[in-house]
Amino acid sequence: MLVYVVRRFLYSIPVLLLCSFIIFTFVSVSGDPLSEVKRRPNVSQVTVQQIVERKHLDESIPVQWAYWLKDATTNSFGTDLLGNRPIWPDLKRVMGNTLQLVVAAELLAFTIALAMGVISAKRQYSLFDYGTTTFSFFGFSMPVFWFALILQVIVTNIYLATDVRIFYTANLSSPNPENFLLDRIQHLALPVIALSVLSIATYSRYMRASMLEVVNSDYVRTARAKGVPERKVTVHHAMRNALIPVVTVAALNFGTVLGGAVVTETVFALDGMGLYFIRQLGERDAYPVMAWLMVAAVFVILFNLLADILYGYLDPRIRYE
Amino acid sequence: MESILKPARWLIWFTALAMLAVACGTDNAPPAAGPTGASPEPGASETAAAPPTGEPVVGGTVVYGSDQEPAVLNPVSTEGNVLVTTKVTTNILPRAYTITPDFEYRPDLLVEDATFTEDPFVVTYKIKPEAAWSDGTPISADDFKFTWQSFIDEDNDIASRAGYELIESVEVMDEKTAKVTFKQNYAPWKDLFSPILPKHELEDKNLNKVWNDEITISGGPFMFESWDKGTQLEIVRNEEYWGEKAKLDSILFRFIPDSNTLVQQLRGGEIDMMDPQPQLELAEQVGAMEGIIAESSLGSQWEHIDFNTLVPPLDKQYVRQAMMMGIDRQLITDQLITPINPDAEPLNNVIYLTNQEEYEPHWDKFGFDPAAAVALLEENGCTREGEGTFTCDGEPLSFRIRTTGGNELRELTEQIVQQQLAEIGVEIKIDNAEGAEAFSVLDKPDSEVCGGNGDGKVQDGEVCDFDLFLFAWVGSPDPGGSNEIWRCDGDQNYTVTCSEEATELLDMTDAILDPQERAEVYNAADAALADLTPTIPLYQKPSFFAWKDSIVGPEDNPTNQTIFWNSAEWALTE
Repeated sequence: MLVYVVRRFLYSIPVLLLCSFIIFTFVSVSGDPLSEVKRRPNVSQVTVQQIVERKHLDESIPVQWAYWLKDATTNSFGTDLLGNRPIWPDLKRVMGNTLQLVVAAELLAFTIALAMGVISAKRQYSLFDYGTTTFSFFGFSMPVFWFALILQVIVTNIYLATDVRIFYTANLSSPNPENFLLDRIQHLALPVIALSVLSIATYSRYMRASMLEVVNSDYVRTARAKGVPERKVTVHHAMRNALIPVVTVAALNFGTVLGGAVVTETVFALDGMGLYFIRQLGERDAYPVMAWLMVAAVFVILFNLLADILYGYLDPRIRYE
Repeated sequence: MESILKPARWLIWFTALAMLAVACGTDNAPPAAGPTGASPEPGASETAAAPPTGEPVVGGTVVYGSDQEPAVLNPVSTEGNVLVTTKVTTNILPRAYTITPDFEYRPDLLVEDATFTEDPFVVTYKIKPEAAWSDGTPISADDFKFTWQSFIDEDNDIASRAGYELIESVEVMDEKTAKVTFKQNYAPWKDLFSPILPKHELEDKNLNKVWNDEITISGGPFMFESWDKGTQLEIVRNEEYWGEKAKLDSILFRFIPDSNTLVQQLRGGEIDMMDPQPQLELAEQVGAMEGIIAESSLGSQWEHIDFNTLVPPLDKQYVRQAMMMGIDRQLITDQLITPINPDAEPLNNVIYLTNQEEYEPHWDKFGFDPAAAVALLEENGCTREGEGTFTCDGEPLSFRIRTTGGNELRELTEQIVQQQLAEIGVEIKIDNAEGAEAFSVLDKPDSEVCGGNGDGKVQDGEVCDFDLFLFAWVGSPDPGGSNEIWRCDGDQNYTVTCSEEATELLDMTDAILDPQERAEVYNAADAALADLTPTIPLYQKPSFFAWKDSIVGPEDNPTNQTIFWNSAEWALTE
C-alpha cells in the first residue's frame, strides 16, 4: 500500500508541472497584465518599466515560468505581480476558510443524502421516493447564485419581520462576536445550505441506485433468511457495500470543491479559495492564480488517492500493488 | 409510513414558510422609486429619503459595505494607488489640500492657502501649529521634505511621481514652514503632498515593504485598528487628532464583492452604508427601501468611445465626425444615466467635466443629426447601395466595438450605438471581452502587445487590435492628467491622433499659474480636439452612495477623495 501511495505521488509531480506550464502560458498570453495600471492617470512609463523588469515580463513565457517555478519552490510562491505582497499567507488563510465551508457542507450533504438514498431504495416508488426524486432534480437544475440570493432574501425578511437574526447573509464572522462558535455557525449556515443542495441531489441518487442493486442481491436475501434483524441487514450488510460508489464520488467531489466553490463564496462574501481565484484572475495576476492552481491540483490528486484507499477499505477484495 | 412522511411534511412547511417570508418582503416594500428631488446645482447629489431628524451623538460604529478590498494599505505604491485603498488611508494620513465635492481645493493641513512666487516657481507651505501625528510628534516641514525625497527615490515603488520630479528642492524654513522650489512652473501643485509621509516613522524603513498590512501612525481623524483579511478592516477614532475629533468611535469596512448581497445587507441592517458600482436595478431597489438615503453624483469617470485612427477609414476626420453625429448621446444619457442621476447630460468637453466651472461644451457641434451625418459622408465621396453600409475610398464603414463584457451600462450603450449607426450606413459589430482581458489590446501601437518593439515610434504593421473602444477615463479637479491622453506623443494617446495646435496649447498649461488663463488655454485645446474628433465623449459615470438615515454627515465626493473625505463629521443620531 505504501509503495502504491508513494508511486502515485511521484506520478503526480510531472502532471503538476505540465499543468502549471499550460496555465501559466494561457494566463500570460491572454493579454497585457499591466493594462489596468497603464490606464491609471499619471502613472509614468518608468513605473510600468520597473514592474516589467522586476517580474521579468520582457522575457519569453518559458523563462517567466522558470522564474515563477523558482519562486514557488524556494519562496512559498513568491509575491504578486504589482508589489511585494507575499502570496502564501493569503492562500493559507483562504484554504482554512474553504475547508470550514466544504467540510460542513459535505458532511451535511453526505448524512442527508445517505438517509434519503437508503429510505428511497427501501421504499421504492413510495411518496417519499417520488419526493426525493423531485428534490434531486430541483437540486441539479437550480442555479446556485439564484438559490443563494433567495436564501438571503428569506433570512433578511425573517429578520425584518421578527427582529431576530437567525443567520447572517455574508462574511464569516461578526465584528466582535460574543460567542465565536455560534457566530461562525450563523455565518456559515446559508453558504453551507447553498453548497450542499447540489451534493445532496447527487449523492442521494447514487445511494438510491446503489442500494437498490444491493438489497435485491443473494447475500442480503440470505441474511434475512438467517433471521438477521432488518435494521442490521440494511446497515451492516446492504449499506456498507452500497456505500462504495458513493464514497468514491464524494471523495472526488470533495477534492474538487476544496479548490473553491466560486459562486457560493462570491455571493456570500466568504473569503475562500473560489473567491480568491476569481479576484486574482480578474486582476490578471498570474502569480497568485498559479499558486491557487497548484494547491487546488494537490487537493484533487490527494482526494483521488483517498478515494482509491477508501475503496480498498470498503471492499476487501481490492488490493493495491 | 408515518415516520417517513414526517420529514417530507416538515419540508413542505419550511418551503411554505420561506415563500411566505419572500412574499411578505415584497408586499411590505413601498413602491419602487428612483432618487428624486431638486438638486442645488448640476451634478450634485440627489436624496431619496427624508434626512434624519435625531440629534447627533458622539460614539458608535458605522459599518461600510465595500465591494472591493485593498491589496495593501501603502497608498503611494503601485499596488496601493487605487480608490479602495484611498478610502481607508484618507481617514488616516494628512494631506496639504482636500478636494471638496464641488472640485474646490481646501487647505487641510495648512494654516491658509499656500503662497507662491514665480521665476523661480516657489511654493511656501505653512503647516498648522497644532498639527501632530498620533504619537505626539509635530507634523513638520521635515515631513514635507521626506515625502518629496521618498517620491523621487527611484528605488521606491511609487505609482506616480508626477510633479515631484519637477521639484528642485524642499527647504525647511522652520518646523512648520516648508519652501518648495520647482525647476519650472507647475500649475497642478495643489495635488502634491497628498498624503504626507511621517519622516520619524519611515526614514529607517524600506518604503516598499511598510504599510502593506497596517498603517502604524495617524495624522488624520481615525487610526488603523485591525484588518481581518477577506472579511473586515477597522479604523478607530484618533484621540490625539489635532483637528476636530471624529464623532464616531470607529468605522468598519466589511468586504462584500457581490452587489446583490450588499443590497440585502443594507436592507437587513448588517451594513450601514455602501457605494457600489451604479446599476439601474440596484438604484431602484435601494430607492424603494425605507430608512435609507441614496445619493448619486456625476462622478469623475467619463465614458467615451475611442477611435483607432490607424484603422482605415477611421483615419478620416469626416468619418469620425459623421459617426459622432449619428449617435444620439442625449438619448443614451436619458435611457441609461438619468434614472440613476436626473442631472446627467452628455459630456461635451474631454478636459473638464460638466460640474466644473471651467466646462465649455465644445463638442456639442457634433450633436445628433443623422441627416447631416449622411450628407457629410456623401460630400466626401462615400457611396452606398440603398440603405446599406457606406464605402469610403474603397473601405466599408464596418467596425468592431469593444468594451468590458458584463458591464451593464456599457453593453447597453453599445447596443444603442450599433442600432443608431446602422441608420446612417455604418455597421458595428460587438467584440467584447471580459474584464481586464478587454483592455489587453488598448495600448500604444509601438508596444509589444500591439506588435511593436517599444521604440516609441509607430511603424507600418504596428496597430492595436481594436477599431472602437468604449471605456472610461478618470478625470480630476486639475486637468493636468489629461495632457498625456491628447498630446501627439502622449503616453496614453491610444487613438494615435495628433493635433499640433492642441499639443502646443497643452504643453503650455503646466507653466500657467493663473487658473483662469489656464482654463482658457485648456478650453482652446479642447476646441481643437473637438475638430479632430479622436473620440466620442458620452457621459460622466454617476456614483451611487446609500446609507441609513440614522447617520448624519455623509456626503458623496465624486473626486478621488472618495466618500470618506469628511468622515470626521459623520455621526449617529439618537
